Amino acid sequence: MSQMPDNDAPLVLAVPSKGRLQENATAFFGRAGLKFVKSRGERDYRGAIAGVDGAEVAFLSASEIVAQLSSGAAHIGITGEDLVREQLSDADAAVEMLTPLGFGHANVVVAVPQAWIDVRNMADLDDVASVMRARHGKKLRVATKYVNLTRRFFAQHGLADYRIVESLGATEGAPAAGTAEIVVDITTTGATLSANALKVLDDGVMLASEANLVASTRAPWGERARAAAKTILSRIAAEEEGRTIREVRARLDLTPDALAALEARFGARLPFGAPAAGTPLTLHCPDKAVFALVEHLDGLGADDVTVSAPAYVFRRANRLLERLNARI
Amino acid sequence: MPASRASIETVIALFAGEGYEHAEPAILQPADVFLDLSGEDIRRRIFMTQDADGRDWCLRPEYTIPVALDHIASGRTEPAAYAYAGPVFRMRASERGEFLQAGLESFGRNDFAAADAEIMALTIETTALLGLAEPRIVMGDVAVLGALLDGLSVPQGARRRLVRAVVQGKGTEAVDALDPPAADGETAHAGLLKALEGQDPKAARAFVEDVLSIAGISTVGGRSAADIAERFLARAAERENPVNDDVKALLAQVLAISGDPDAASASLRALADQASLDIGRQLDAFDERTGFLAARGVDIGAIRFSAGFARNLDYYTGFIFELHDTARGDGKPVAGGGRYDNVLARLGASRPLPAVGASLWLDRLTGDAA
Repeated sequence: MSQMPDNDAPLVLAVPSKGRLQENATAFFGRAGLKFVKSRGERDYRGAIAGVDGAEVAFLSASEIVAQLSSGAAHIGITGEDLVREQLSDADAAVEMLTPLGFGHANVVVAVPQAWIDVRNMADLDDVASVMRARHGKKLRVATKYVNLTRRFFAQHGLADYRIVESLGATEGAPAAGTAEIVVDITTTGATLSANALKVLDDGVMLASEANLVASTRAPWGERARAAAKTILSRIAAEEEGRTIREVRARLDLTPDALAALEARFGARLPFGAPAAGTPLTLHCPDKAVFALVEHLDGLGADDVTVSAPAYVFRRANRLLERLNARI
Repeated sequence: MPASRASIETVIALFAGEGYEHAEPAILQPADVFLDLSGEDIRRRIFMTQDADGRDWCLRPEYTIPVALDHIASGRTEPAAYAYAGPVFRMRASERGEFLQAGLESFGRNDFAAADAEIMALTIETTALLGLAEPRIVMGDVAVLGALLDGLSVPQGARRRLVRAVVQGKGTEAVDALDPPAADGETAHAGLLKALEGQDPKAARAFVEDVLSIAGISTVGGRSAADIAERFLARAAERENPVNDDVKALLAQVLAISGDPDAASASLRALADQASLDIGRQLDAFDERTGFLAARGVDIGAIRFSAGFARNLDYYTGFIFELHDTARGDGKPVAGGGRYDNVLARLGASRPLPAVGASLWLDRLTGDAA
């Protein structure tokens, strides 16, 4: 932490200001009981979170969010991993990826003309690029807005004979327009690339990106900001825990050994400890293991096995908060 | 005044005495040529900016290209020799972004061996003058390797892969790159490759055009059906006739050669004779250069020639060398240079112009490095 934090300064939470990313972000926070309020109407670029003291919401464009996290003007933000990796050469020092959010999925890919039927992977592309240079004295041109990601990825594959043509829109049209031979672009379904007679190389996925909750290590983390972060991250973690586990209750008496076996085999936890004789057993287990666990309990003679999904599970051990605290 | 600043006058005076005219190219240079010649990777190391028309400019990251551009612009046709010393600008992890470099460039001389030796000897003399009495000197020669590969008729694709592996410093293991890459896509192409095997280029091209039109694929992106067919043919040929083990064994022996230039030359001659390869012309030139170096008072025994030592081959075409200060822990050279005969034509010279040069990191030599 470089600056002396002002202990009264609020936490600045940067969220996307428009489009699908904004809708998804609002819904995500909403599920965690965090409702954004704009005191001065829809077009306001600053807001707050209902019932959370000490947090300010900044509505920004996705790339501006990365810039503000890097400079420390925002404490926590929602943005795509693609932008973080592209815009920050020192991403791992500047920010901490707290958790992927399950929306905003898109891949940054290397795509070449479909007509290049002899080119399927990066090794082929490398070969073609060096032939182009040796034979025609010109370099393979790559249209992209991901200048840094491209350079790193190509370097990893030992590809050096190329030139980047910066493109800030409609990148997929560059080969047809004759301004580049290939593109590096972001795609969700690949439909736009196909429509432009391009195909993704077999090993051409540079980054499988999704929206992330990202914390700035350079923001001034004063007491008030930390307290707000704790509130927010607790609710997000509680919602995530609630969404990914099932609560299983049953009438069944088990030995301590048999209880321990449940944990080892199904990842099931005893949130309230071993039940006293005659009281119901309560387990939390991962969503995907629930039916296997139920069948197993049935085999042990359980009755009234009741499965429910908790809305929130607040636990003292909070992965998100631990990750944040480890870095600030 | 830091020591490296003072060293500027020392080296310019030394070089002037040898007939090298002081060149002072502009600090602000068009960025394109550096990206073209050094590759995109240099983009993260140069300080770039744009003018109002959107053209990219950069602070000169080195002197050779600016000096060459000025020479071309001057329209001079006679041989020319330049010396320079001043600030260059690169983003470096643990060193300053602005630092001092000095160097020499010689354009248009046809007595290659003497010109090479003069540049290398002057570089060694200058480092000595700046206080580095016993540098570690490494030397390579991509022209010799090229002549060997010509003589062995190594196919283009395999040759490119090998040379790249050599540049990456893989040493004798570079010969593994001669094998066709075992790509996953290969089996998927097996049918196509089989169909094309033994076809003449015209038929292969017609075949590829048919495949594309049947699939309804429009041709975009700077490569013609002929280019694609040709690559299929080359791969089919490589599958049929991979580089044989004798050639690989010979090249591995060549790449393992390391020693003073005279000993290395003798080893190269012996290996070439054994394989009945005629690279006598290249080796005679090699020995001639060694002779000129000795005549200029360079201790030949202190030079370590390594057949596997190569650097940026977009740039260097013949001999290359580096001087190292053994007291430095980071393995970075304090001076380096070589022959780059293709560069001036690529920069716009109306005809190919022989060129050889070297540069010295004054900050590293004078201990001013951050």
